[in-house]
Amino acid sequence: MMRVLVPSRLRAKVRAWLDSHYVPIADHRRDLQDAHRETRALRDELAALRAEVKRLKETPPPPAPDTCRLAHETAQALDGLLQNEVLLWQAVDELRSAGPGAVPDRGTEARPCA
Amino acid sequence: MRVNWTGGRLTFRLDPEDEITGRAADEHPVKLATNTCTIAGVPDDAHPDLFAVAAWTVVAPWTRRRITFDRAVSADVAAALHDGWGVDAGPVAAEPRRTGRALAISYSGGADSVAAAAIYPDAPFVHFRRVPHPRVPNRWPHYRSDVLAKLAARTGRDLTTVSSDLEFTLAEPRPGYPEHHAVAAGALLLADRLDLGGLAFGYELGSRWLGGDRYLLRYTPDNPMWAPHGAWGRLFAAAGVHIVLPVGGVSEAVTMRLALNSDLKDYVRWCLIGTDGPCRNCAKCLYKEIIQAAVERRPLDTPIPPTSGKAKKWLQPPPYGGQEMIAYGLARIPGIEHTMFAKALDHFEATEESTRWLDHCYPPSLDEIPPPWRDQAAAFLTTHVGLMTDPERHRVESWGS
Ligand SMILES: [Zn+2]
Repeated sequence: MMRVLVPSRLRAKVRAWLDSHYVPIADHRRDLQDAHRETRALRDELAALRAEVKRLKETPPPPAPDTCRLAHETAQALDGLLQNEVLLWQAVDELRSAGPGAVPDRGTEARPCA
Repeated sequence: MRVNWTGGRLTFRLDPEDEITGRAADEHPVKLATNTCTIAGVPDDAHPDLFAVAAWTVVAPWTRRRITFDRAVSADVAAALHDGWGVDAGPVAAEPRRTGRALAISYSGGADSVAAAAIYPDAPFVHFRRVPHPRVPNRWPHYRSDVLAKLAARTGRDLTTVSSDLEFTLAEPRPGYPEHHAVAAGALLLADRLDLGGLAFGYELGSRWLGGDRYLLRYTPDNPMWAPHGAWGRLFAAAGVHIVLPVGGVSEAVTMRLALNSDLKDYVRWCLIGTDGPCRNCAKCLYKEIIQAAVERRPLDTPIPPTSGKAKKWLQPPPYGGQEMIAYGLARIPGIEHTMFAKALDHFEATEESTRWLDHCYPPSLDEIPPPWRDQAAAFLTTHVGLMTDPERHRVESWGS
């Protein structure tokens, strides 16, 4: 076995360097605990995020406000159209049953100079 | 109004005097959505009076003065339309339909129709199932008619399910029967095939005699919708299908009790929303929970918070439909003073004694059941329910006055 002899001045220098670079053991332990705590918190946060992603994947996205409004307005407009259709047939049937004489003769109106 | 049937598809056209906004027999204003609907799976050779009455259950609110059918009806049906509504109906040429021998139950699956079914354990069911209309957007997809139809099928009764979109002819207040009787449109068209002489509905004391639902809220011996001598009763009879109200003399407390004690209790469903069971959260579930808690004499069990708007109606001072059942519940539910109904107690002086009449059967309702089916109902209700005493009868007859 070989023993390396280090000059004492150098040894002192190294120890000083080490002392300045290494925190006391107590501090070190606290740092480790903090790191642990932070890791745990991060892990929990990650789990929560994963659950949220899963939930969002499973539930359909809420319709955009415009989609709701448009669906509502379209349905309402269609109600009006269907009702108008009924009223149109009512008018058509009324004219038909009244006979051709009841229909205004638009041909003459269109040619006032004839 | 002119009506035309192609198989089970009904098309109707307004006459000049008819309007989009009409009135149902209960005076409720109703707005027309569209002028076609279909009743699936019905024969196309039913008696013309059956086609006429089925059409009338849909178009009545929007018909002012006359109705023209696509096939001649009997003078009896034309007379019933004239006497009941002041409407001229034609053409008239058909022989009247012979009253059939069988009774069927218009089965919804609710407690009232289950109670009616308990009275006639051998009667077949006709179940009305709502399906979407091809021309009207369905804004009510949460109405689970499929669930109700499945439950009806599981009862083991002889069952005919009639699918129809006729409720979508009604735009406002919302899709629904233009007249309450439209639920019977399918049963009417099946009447020849089923040899029907009567159709039993689950309308109870409140609807028949107390002017409940959307109606007058007072004693209504001449109820135009459900009295045998009322407009609708006479029209159905003219077509040989009598309206039968087996539970017309008993309250919803009694129908609830009869339903929960019947063989069909596992299939009872009054909620139109829930899939695996009643949703417990809708206004109807809350109303029925009051009745059920009262019948079972247990505390109210509802997830609805006291601040919810669903309880609002019952916190107002009377009158309103179903008020007699609220009084019945307030008098019987243990701890009701600690629920959302605490405030409603101010409006009622309800005691068990003062609401006991709602546990018994109003005898005139039995006289209204046509003879072929009267004795069976009378025997059942006398044994399982009991008839009202004279003072109890007076409670019915002075209702709302
Ligand atoms: Zn419900």
